[in-house]
Amino acid sequence: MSSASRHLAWLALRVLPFIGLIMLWDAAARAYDVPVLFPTPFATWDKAVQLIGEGQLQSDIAISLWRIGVGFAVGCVLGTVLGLMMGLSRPVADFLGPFVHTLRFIGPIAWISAVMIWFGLGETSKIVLIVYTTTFVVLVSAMIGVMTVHPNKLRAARVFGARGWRLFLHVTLPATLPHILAGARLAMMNSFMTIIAAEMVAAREGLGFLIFNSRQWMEVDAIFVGMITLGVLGLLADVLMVLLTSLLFRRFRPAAA
Amino acid sequence: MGFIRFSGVDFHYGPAGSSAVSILKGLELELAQGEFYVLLGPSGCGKTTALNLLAGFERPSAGTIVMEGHAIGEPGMDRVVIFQGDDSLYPWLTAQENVEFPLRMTGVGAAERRRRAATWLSRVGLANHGQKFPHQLSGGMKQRIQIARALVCDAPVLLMDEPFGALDAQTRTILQDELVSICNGSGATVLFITHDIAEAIILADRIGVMRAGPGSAVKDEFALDLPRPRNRGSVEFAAAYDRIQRVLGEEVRKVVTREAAA
Repeated sequence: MSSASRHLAWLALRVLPFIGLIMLWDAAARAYDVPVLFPTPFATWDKAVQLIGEGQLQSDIAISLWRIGVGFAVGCVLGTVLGLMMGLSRPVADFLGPFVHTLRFIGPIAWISAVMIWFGLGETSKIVLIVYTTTFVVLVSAMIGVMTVHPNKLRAARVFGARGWRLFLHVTLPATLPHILAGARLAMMNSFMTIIAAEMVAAREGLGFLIFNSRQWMEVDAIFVGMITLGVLGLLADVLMVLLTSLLFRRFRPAAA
Repeated sequence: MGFIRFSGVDFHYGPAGSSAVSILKGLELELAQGEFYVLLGPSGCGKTTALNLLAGFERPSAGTIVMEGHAIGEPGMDRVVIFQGDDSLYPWLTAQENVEFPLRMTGVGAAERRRRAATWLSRVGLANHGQKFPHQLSGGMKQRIQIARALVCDAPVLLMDEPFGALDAQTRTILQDELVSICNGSGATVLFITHDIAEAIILADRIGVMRAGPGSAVKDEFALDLPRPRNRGSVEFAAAYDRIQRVLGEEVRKVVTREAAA
């Protein structure tokens, strides 16, 4: 196959399914009786243009991303520190283990009401929920990462005189980093799911609010805009994370571990 | 006499008593300074445990291990280990950085570190691969990194735990010959673990054959004073192989019979 036709095949493989999906959506929407309740791709596009024109979509995106960003960052730090401590120290693992392994099964959505009551309807409560959902995923990844460092890596370093803090910095931490990064990538997905739930219950702005509030006005087209925006933002966030990982942590990429 | 000496060394897992799993029982072993000693034995006989005890990774349940008059304590740079497989290499470091690692841990300056690591990399034939990461190199090349990383330490004692066990036969043969030329005249005392008789004869000054476990110890010792490099096709090689095979074969048969009965 020539290089030009290979490029064409590459393009077709990525673009055609997308066009097909839109056509399928269009056909399904037209087959549905009430156009308002199942808008076509074009109606959804028009709504998106309108929401952008009013400036609402941008501000919803900005506020949701800000909440995710802050909560995710705090959760990553918290999860990494706690996970490393639990992986390194038997007593810490024994002490925190029961709490961690119970709490991580109580999803953030179950906490929404309690968190709203304790932290109010402001930004704090949403960020707390994002922190919560991020922490446990990163924590478990970091802990498993520490516990699965091959003993010979540690033994070799001990032969060369590394102990305690230096052993941690030069062997345990770099060996665990791929796990932490993989955990953070999963946690990003959790953050996107949690923010919508949190904003649906108690918020006056954000993508979750857009989606939930539009229900009250039967604006299914706006719901679609919110959903598609979420998917695209999530994809971009994931690509950004993979890109940053390969730029900043090239030597620690999961493939090399 | 006796640069390194194991006296009455027992090692068992679990508390002493009937439930303990005995690995070594009354192990006596003596290595002279500069000697290349190969410990040969059926799988599961505890030869790696003996090495781990000398390295300081484990402590004997009974008996003493002494080096130059001092009891063996924590692992240290005076007894450098070359491990089986490549799990001990650091995948986030290049070959060069892996070899520099011990020097970095001991606070050797960057320029000196780079120079010494580069010297050893080229001595093990990796001069052009220093900037590659371990996963970009073959199994044989990864073991060369380990050899360079151990020898850069200038350690008086080298402990090698089946370092070529996971390699294909051709690569293994080449690395054995290279090890002979590297160790010849280095003055290092070597404890080398293997279950490959031919490998033992190529490398060893003395070979200790261990009994089948549990509760293993050295059953028989063979001194080899054939000149190096040794020829795998020579009559002397075949004679030594035959003598050792008779002793080792008996122990391996015990293991096989027991496994078949279990």
